[in-house]
Amino acid sequence: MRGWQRGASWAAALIGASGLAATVVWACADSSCSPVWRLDAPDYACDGRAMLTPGNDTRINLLLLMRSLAPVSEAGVAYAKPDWDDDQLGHVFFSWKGLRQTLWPSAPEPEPATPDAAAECAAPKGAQDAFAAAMLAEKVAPFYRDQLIAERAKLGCPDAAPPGVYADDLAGSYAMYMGAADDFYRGNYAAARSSFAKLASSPSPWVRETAAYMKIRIALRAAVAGAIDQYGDFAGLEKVDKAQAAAAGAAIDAYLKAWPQGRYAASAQGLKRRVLWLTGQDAALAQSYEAMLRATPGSGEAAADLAEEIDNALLQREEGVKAVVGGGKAPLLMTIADLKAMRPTDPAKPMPLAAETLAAQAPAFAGQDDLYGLLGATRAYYAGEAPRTILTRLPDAARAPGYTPLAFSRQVLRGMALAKAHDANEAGFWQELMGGAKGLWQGQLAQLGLALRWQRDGRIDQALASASPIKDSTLRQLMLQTMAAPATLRANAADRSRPDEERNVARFTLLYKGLTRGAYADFTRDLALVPADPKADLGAFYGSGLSTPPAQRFTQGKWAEGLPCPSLAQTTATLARNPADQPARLCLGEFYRLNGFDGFSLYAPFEKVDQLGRGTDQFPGTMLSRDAIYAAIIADKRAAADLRAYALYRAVMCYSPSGYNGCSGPAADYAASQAQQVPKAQRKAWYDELKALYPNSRWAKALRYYW
Amino acid sequence: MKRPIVASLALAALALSSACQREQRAPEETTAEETTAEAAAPKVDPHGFDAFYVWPGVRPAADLRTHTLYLLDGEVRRRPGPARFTRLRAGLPRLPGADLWLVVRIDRLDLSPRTWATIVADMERWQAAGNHLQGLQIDFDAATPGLDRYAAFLAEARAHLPHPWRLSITGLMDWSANGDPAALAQLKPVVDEVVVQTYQGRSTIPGYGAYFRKMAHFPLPFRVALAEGGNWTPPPGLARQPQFKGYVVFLMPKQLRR
Repeated sequence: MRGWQRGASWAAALIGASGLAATVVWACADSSCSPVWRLDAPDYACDGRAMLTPGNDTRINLLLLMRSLAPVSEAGVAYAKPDWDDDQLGHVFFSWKGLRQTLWPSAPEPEPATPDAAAECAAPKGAQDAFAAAMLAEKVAPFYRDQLIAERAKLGCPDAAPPGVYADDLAGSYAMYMGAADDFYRGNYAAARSSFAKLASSPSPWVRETAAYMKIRIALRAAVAGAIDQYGDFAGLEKVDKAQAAAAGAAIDAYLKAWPQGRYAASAQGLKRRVLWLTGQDAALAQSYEAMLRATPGSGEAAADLAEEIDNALLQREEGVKAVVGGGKAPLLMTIADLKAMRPTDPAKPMPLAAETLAAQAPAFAGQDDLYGLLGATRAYYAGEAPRTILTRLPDAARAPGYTPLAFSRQVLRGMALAKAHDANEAGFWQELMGGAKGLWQGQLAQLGLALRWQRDGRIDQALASASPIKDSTLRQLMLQTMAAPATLRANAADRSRPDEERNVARFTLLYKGLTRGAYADFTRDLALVPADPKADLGAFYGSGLSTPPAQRFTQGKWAEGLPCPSLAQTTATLARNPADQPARLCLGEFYRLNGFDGFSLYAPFEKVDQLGRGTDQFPGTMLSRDAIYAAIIADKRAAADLRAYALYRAVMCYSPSGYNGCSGPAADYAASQAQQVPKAQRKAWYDELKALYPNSRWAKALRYYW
Repeated sequence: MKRPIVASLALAALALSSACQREQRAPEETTAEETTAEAAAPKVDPHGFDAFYVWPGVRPAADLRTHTLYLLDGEVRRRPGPARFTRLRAGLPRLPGADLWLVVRIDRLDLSPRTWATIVADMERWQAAGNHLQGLQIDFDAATPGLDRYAAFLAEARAHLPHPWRLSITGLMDWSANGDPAALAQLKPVVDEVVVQTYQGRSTIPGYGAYFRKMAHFPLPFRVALAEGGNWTPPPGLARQPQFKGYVVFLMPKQLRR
């Protein structure tokens, strides 16, 4: 029997997967996810957290809840290798896709197809086997049986022949079944319906039962047959043929009455939800899902399929949410809907979920104090209530040996309230919590909490010390690139207990900031920290999502093109003695230009909100950009003619060919990038000056335009 | 999803690590100036175009001029077991007013004759439903394959495709610009057009100017696929390239806030 296999195909089978398109089809059609490096998540975001929170993907919250009802050990589970778009999440955050891939990794690459494998046009092998087994059990004559099996194997394929004619009643009944099934798959529902009706009096019990089940399938297909838009997509519930959907419901009842333990009983039970959905019986659908949330173990992949189905069929529709909340009988679904309802509709307006609304739901949560307490505390936190009121609702359990996702959510929220209260014990709380935070992604969330606190306290050196409890490499790479002092970077570069990629990030950052911020003597010395690696791929990036190029960029780069520049080490040695040395400064500019540093920036958190990485940078100095090197030499009228000519030439070339300044280094935002542009008149003035003052220089001759 | 639009100003030639650029990296010849200009380029508005990619679940605005549509029908995905074709639409499209391409997304090349037969049967169903079906587009969605192996696969596709239907393929910019010209020319009798993808995710890939400079002598007719809302300034000379046959705009799906 084709079609209805398991939960995931529930909506997909019906609506042609359009409802799942966002996850199924868009492998590379969605932007990559850049997380906000903080604990709170008020609004929907791609970076999921290991706690029940308004910002999580609803499917993540559903699964975390299921895994709290029946606790699951996550010991020894390895994090899935992230896809390109999840790369920045590290092991701190996760997407729905990443969560599924970690918990239920897909099987390795398939073996090459075998010639006798069932084609997609034919029924799955299981269905063909069931057909053959039924004939064997019912003692269909072997001769007919072989013929019927052969016909069945091709049924539905373009090269199928119409079923043969059988003199024998029993075999003929199987043949008629195949004809009816073929009509069904071809969309000839009236013909299929009449053939299956006739088969109700078949001599074969298997055919009788299967024909009764197929009545359900036909009615469901017919119900949505007209609900297709011009693009071939599901046109919406309002276009469904409700009479056919109701007929499917009646056929389910009839089938289950006649065959309560029948071979399709489980499938028929599942199809009940589809009927509820198609006929808009959302209250009953919610009750069904609530029961399934309790009954489905969070350890199995069926839990993930269920989460997707609930989100697609119920929680993404306003009427569905109303049925959940209005019914007041589905606390698990209400939890998920309430969390979603806490997302801000408008930052200027108060928390959309009113305290009274949540208070009125209290009876539904009788006996589930942990869940209801978390909801109340979460609402209070995101509504901006005083942290002390949140702390009283969430007792300290930071020394527990382990946490369900629900228990962990309560503790992390407690830690967030401690942070808001600037509580002196916050750092100790996070360190205690790490002990029992053994679930996937849990420990890293506690580490993020501690890192944020230490950032606020100006203790990045402590956070990055060798003995620091912040062990997560992504968090460390983030702090190394954004805030670490030179000595901290040196110590991390030398720390053999840390992964090579992380040490490269430390090394690269030390050298990059040293070079661009004028620490020339240090830079020259620190070059010795770069391991000789002639095979280093200078174009590659190393690190966990917050990667840097290899530090060998500074030892194996290209030094000279138009100017006779020595190695970078010699240039910086000169600058260490005299930072104003003009030939050396031009050679520094050449190094930027020839090695791709013009457009480069270290990782910086994108959104300008308080988050890890936006603390004070302990590395002193400000960046010297290439255009500033030229501007200083142009301003020095006594500079040597060849140097000044080159500075003018390069200053004009900074705008080639786009008219935008490509030599100004990274800009934090649009306004900053606008501030880096000089007026076109200035570019013309440089051009004119080069042509007028140094007409015989090779740079004047080489320059034919300005931009 | 948070996509740092402005950040791309800061991340140019060296910053290859974000977005889908793992698969399509900016060419080394790209100048920082170029990337800066590309990032500041105007955004693609579908109203200025007449050919579109329509993925399942996407409903083009009613006021678009839809002369040519590339509709994703289904996919053959990497997963255990033999290759199987999975349909992604609930039913048949009925778009008699447009030239229609049936798109199949694949990430494996071991399609069986039965799979091909299923794809061709879908094409026949689309045609029979009153659509003006132009042909099949193969959207190969994986790392750049060895051109030899891919060429063999495309020859197989051609062989399965009834006359007079045409064969279109998507191409990554890297592949189109840096592929061996002789090997590309060998595809001429097999492939009727290449649609060069300039985006990953929702964004235009920085450095496209350099790619199109290298495509000056591209041997096959090609269209250029743009992301709706992505930044785009036509590279100089593109419009004059004899093999350039126009644009296809990829209509972006609504982002679900699950």
